[in-house]
Amino acid sequence: MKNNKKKLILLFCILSVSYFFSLETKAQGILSGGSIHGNFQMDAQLYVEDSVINAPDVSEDMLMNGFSNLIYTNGKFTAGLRYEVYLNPMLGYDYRLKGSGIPYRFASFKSDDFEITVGNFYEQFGSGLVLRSYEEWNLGIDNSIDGINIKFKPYKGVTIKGVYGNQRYYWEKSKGIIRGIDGEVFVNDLFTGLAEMKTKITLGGSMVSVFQENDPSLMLNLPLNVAAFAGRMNINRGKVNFMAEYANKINDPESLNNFIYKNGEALLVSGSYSQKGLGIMFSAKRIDNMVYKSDRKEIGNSLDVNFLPPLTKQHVYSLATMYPYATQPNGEMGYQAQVIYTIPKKSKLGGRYGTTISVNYSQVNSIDKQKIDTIPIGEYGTKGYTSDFFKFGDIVYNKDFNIEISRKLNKKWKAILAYTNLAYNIEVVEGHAGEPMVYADIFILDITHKFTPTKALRLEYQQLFTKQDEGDWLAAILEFTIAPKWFLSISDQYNYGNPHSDKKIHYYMAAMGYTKGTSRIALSYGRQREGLVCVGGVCRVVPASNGLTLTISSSF
Amino acid sequence: MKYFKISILLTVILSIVIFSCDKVDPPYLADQPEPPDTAACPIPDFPDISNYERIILLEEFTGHTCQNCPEGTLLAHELKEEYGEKLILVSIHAGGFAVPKPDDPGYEIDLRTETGDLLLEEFSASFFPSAMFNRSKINNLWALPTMWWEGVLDTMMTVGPTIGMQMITDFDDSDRKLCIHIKSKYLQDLSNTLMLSVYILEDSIQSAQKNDNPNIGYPTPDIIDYWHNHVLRGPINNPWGSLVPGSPYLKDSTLITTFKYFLNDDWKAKHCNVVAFIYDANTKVVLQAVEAKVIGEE
Repeated sequence: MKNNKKKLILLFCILSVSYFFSLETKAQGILSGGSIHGNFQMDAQLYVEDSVINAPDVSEDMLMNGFSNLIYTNGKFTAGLRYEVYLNPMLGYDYRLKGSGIPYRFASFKSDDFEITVGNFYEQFGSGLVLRSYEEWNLGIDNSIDGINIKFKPYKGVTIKGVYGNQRYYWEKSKGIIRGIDGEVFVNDLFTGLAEMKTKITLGGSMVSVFQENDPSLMLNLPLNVAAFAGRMNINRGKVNFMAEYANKINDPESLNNFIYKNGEALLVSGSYSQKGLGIMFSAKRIDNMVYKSDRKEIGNSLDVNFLPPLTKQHVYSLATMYPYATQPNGEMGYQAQVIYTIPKKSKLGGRYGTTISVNYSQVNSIDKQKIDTIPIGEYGTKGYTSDFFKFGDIVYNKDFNIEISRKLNKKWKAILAYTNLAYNIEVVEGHAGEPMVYADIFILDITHKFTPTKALRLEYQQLFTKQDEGDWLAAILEFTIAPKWFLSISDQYNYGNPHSDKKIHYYMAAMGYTKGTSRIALSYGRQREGLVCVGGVCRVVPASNGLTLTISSSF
Repeated sequence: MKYFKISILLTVILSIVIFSCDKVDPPYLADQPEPPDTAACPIPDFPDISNYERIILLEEFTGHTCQNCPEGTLLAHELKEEYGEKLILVSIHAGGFAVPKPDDPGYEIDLRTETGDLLLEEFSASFFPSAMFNRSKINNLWALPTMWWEGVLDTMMTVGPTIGMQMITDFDDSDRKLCIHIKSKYLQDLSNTLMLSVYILEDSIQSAQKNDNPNIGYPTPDIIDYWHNHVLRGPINNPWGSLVPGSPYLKDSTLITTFKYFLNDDWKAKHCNVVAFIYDANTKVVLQAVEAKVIGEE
């Protein structure tokens, strides 16, 4: 019944767009000359109870998440849908995803200077400080907007975007309605005298408003329309680039800020210089009370209207990702600097193929918060607190110094050497009350040997030293690749430094994969340790598990 | 001309969005109750208590035309017998099953309240019978099916109290004035904002009730002389209570809150109870509850 309803809606969308743009589409022939493309993925795991790692007993034995996108394109017309199935949701994914259906369907028409989409869509204004709807399969996040999205280019260099709709909430929709507008001007195009100027300037501004009905249970005089504004600029001149974006959100009492009425603020500044062999980047940000959701009572990862970009390195090696930093939207202030330098080829230091060195440092602290009169900071139904915009708070949330040296030794050997020094506030980031700051040193060696142009063996050895949390770890992976089709690997993570002898556990894993064209099948068996999976500063808790995992993906 | 058009366009768009913004000025808290009339309701001495127990609030959603509800109510009473004063029962008559039927003898009575309807909607009670336990969300449900009740209660009973509560009532039959004094003692530091809700309940209301289970000692399909107990009659302060002042609440500090209330003429004072509970304003989870009769034991 639900599916039939959705099919009818899709049909309605297609008919609506085809009606409004009938002249254009008739000329092209909506049912001829079109093409269909899409992709498919299925992740399934057969769970094995494992009391050693506290892997829970899964009554279904096997759980599966899957999706498929189908996109039909015909000239200026596009329509599509995504089918999703969670039977039942894999461990670590929200159980409200249970079921199957078509949560995403759309139809759109695009001409040179005009685009309209009805149905579901993803959109981002600037860096996303006031609006970003996106989908991240690995986190189980999809906050697509269901409504209308219009993009319009009235003049050369000017782009205006508008959105209006509800967000997806698992198999339902958000209570709040999002309305937003974004304008961006490429100044050099707008003024003919600046067209040839070497300095390129882009200016932009966004406004978003979320409407939600009153909620008497909160005993508050609530704002029913919560607006956020942002302004941004990007200046580029040759090798130098500078961008800045500032956002302000008007009083938005909601669960995650304990229903305070303070305005929210976010500032993001970034500068970079790049030339052949050298890249320098510096960025800084300040976030204060910037949770922005389309339901003021939502406390999970769902229904985020905005996105607060991370300012720490996104590590890829497994032990370096053990303590991932998650953005603290209620308040954080930090900076990041990075230098990437390639020592030239055939130099004494650089060797025959050159050597690349990357050094990165980031630090994130709390923000300054002061009481208003004698009212405790953050008290329910108050202004909350005041904050000195330029003052760092005393609490360190995260410090990350890392250096990576990558060098091709000869035609057969390639090596990467990396070191990371972390200070991680596990109490704030993961909510482990009372736990001390984690100080960790992580060493990584990654060596690849190519036997032939298609066959390679890679060894990854990692060691993490810390006196806090679970103590020291080591990890090793041995991976054999027969490009472009096969890979085989075995790996282990060993918590040999755990202060509890019964928790000195091996997390072994064996995996293999086969790729043909755009299709891939991967199979792995072993233990998955409990932890956080983060993408772009947004994290999902992954419980410990043991078992056989199958992933099949394809695109067409 | 080009810039004029852009300006017009931007002005229209700006206007639309700016008007979609509500700036709220203090006070932010919705209307709070009048200050207590301590002249009319002098504060009594509370007996000293050294060991508080955590009291669980069970709020059952029910209705007289709900055929499965007598079975749920029976289960709630069995749990009450097992846990005694550690469990407080509240029967919320709300929704379609509680609608009075003027043409159906025995079902003319209206036990619904505005508060009950608000609770039904707020806590998404979509099936009957169902019950909330301390308004805790379990498996994304506030109102839980009967098969979960015993297990949830067993688990909750293992957790100790964070707040101690006492209540003393004083009822004047001549003008039906009811003084309610509630003493709260924080057993640990609490930083979250707390609310205090106070409800009036009435026992021993006799009317009809549908029933489809002959194995629970009642006739089917109608129980003509069914006794409705713990029936929610209404709030003393308001459906969502009032703010507990003094956040953050420091360990061992105490607060006495007094309410003056006039009991409805239609309610039998000797069958009425007062239930008070403190809950977390943000999560809605009830931290402690207390119950007292309107007319104390003689």
